[in-house]
Amino acid sequence: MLKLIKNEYAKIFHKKTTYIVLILCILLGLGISALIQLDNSYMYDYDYDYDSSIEEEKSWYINSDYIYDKLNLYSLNLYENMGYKYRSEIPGWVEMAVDSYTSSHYAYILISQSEDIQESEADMDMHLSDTDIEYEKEISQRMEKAILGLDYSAYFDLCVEYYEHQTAKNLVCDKSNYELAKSIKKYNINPEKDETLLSSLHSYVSAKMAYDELMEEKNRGVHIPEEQFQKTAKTYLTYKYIFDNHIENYMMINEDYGGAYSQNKFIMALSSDTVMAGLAGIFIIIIAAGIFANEYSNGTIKFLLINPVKRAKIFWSKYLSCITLFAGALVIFYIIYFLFAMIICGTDGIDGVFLSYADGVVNEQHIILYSLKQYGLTAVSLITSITLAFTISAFIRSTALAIAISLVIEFAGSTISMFLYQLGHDWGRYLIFSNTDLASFSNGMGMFPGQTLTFALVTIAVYMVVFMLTAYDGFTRKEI
Amino acid sequence: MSSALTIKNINKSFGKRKVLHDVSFETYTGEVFGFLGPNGAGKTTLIKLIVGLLNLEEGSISVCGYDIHKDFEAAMSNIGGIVENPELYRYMTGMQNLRQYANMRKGVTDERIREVIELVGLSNRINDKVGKYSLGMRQRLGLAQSLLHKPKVLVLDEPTNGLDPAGIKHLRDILKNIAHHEDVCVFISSHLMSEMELMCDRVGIIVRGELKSVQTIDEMLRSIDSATATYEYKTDNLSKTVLLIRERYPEYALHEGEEQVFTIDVPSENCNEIIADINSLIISSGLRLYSVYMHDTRSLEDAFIELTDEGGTQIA
Repeated sequence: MLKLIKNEYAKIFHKKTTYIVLILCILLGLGISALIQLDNSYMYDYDYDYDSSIEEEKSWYINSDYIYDKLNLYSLNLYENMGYKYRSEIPGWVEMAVDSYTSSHYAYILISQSEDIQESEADMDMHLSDTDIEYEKEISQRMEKAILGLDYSAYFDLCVEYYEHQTAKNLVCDKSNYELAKSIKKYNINPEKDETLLSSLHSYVSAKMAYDELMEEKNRGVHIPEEQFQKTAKTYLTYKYIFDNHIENYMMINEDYGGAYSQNKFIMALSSDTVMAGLAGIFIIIIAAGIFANEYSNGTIKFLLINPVKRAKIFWSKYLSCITLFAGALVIFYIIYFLFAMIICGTDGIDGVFLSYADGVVNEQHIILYSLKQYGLTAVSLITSITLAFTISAFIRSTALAIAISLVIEFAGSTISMFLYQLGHDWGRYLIFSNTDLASFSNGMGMFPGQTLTFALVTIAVYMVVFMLTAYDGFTRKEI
Repeated sequence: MSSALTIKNINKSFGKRKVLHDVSFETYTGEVFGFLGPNGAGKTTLIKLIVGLLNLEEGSISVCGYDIHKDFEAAMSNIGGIVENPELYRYMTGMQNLRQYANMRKGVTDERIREVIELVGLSNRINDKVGKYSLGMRQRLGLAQSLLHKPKVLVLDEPTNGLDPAGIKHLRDILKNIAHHEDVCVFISSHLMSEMELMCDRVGIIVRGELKSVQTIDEMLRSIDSATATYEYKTDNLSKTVLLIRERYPEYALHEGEEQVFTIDVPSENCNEIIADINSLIISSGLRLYSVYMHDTRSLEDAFIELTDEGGTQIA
């Protein structure tokens, strides 16, 4: 058997087209991945490659009467006063402080901006007593002073003071600043030095607040949908984990994004390795589609079969060659992709982790292991496509036709499944194409409702057996 | 000399069309067996059945005692062959192609590979890509492939296709040598009659899927009843000679040709005496006899056409 497989490899690697297809697949894989990364850059507040100047940003808001634009303008003026010319110069905590300050104290800001107090009040639809206005004025000035003086300690102390004052008076006050300020004190964080930690603390605090609020409502007897509750709990516990463990680079499932998401470029790149796996698959699909068809169209099938070797052995040698070659291609493609990700995104993030949540527990997995897992799952589903291509090759004598059919099925397959899903045909879940995106399944995002990883794997196994039996029977009994 | 191929009661149909009707025969090692028939008679079909390219419906085929159904690998290890045109991997060299087949068979050493290449005469071009080979070279490589594992039975489907006269002679010599000196059964199908006459020991004739006869070459040739023999004469005076002979033997057909040449048809039975007599007549009359020779009418082609009864005008 080993010698037969050696023969097959010789046949594959003496052909020039093998190398051409290989290089094209690698380039295509890298190209598509690069495009995906570029696309990601503009999503969410990802990574501004464009650094705007303060002056420029001011010009966006300067002529607007809209409240929020006025507040933005105010923030920008603060930055200017502090001497910043470009947004990238602004330290993380300062931006956070200014944002929270302007949103909590918009009352004072707007009043101080306009000449007519009545008018401003009408704008804000609230009624403040004179003492309230005085207090607002005083605390806001002190806060601004702290910010301008880059005195974070003073600023956060003021946040605490403000909240306690307003609550004592039963006045409306946003709690998030308070919580954040208290936490910063509690954990003794230096916002200037530990920018990432501050940011994760911020997320943690916000998530905890949301969770606590929900818990409170639940205890009061309000009906909370389980899904919403789970989502909030998940967010809270995950951010808590991130903060408690001081994790800098991480990735987690983001339902709004539709998949796993990370702020870190390298992590995002590495986790998109499924494209490369797909192209390694296409490379092998092309080889598998030709492995029988070539022999028929060349006529070499005759000499191949006039040998003291049972047809069954020849069949398995061809199949095993495809599978082993696939394994080799997967390794090479992964290594190339890893190097590519390192070159494009740098190595920052190489120690990152993937965080998953299940049953109240947050689980951590090294990002490389996670990417290998995704890669491996994609590979498993590709084996099905390869087996299908192999089967088609056993029946169709033209290589070109076998390749064309295999690739069309590979690409159109998922579209067909999507189509069936949209039309509400639940039986679509039994089609092979609905079960190929194993990577998404393991993250809990199946195409049809209730599709689990196990279901997909079982379905794939069944299809594989059918393909192999068909091909085996077809080949061993075929008349030449 | 042992049993090589044992073919018993082969019936084969493609859909509704029956192509082989109850074909049975036996071949032995040490002989060259020719399988002859018009186009479409079923020669290639039978060969494909022997080597396992087609499925047997009825009947049995054994190679050196091994049934191809029950002991496929044992049977096939005794066969080497070429079916239709020898198709090889054009993007690989001759040597790489041979290695492919050497890997599939037991006991083929590097030395044996070189021996075989030498035998077919491809030593100089063996490392060129097969895509660059001429048809003759591909035929030789195909033959080399079939000999690698020293099979007891060599099955060749129209092996002289595309070979030039030198190539055909070379092939003929190789095959006869292998058969007679290495105790191999060489089974050839062809419709090059003259070649078969020179190469084969025994001949099986197949027409429309039926095996008409299996005989030695001599038996076959002798079975032709050729009643007359034609002799061609050249003398210095055509008209005088013709007059002379017509006077003596008026009953024999005499055709005048050009340039002092004429032919005469005499009965085969006592042609020697008659001719000797005519020769003396010519010389004793003072005429000069330049040449006299006999047209060879006994040939496999005639035997074949006579046996198959149709001359290949309609394909079966």
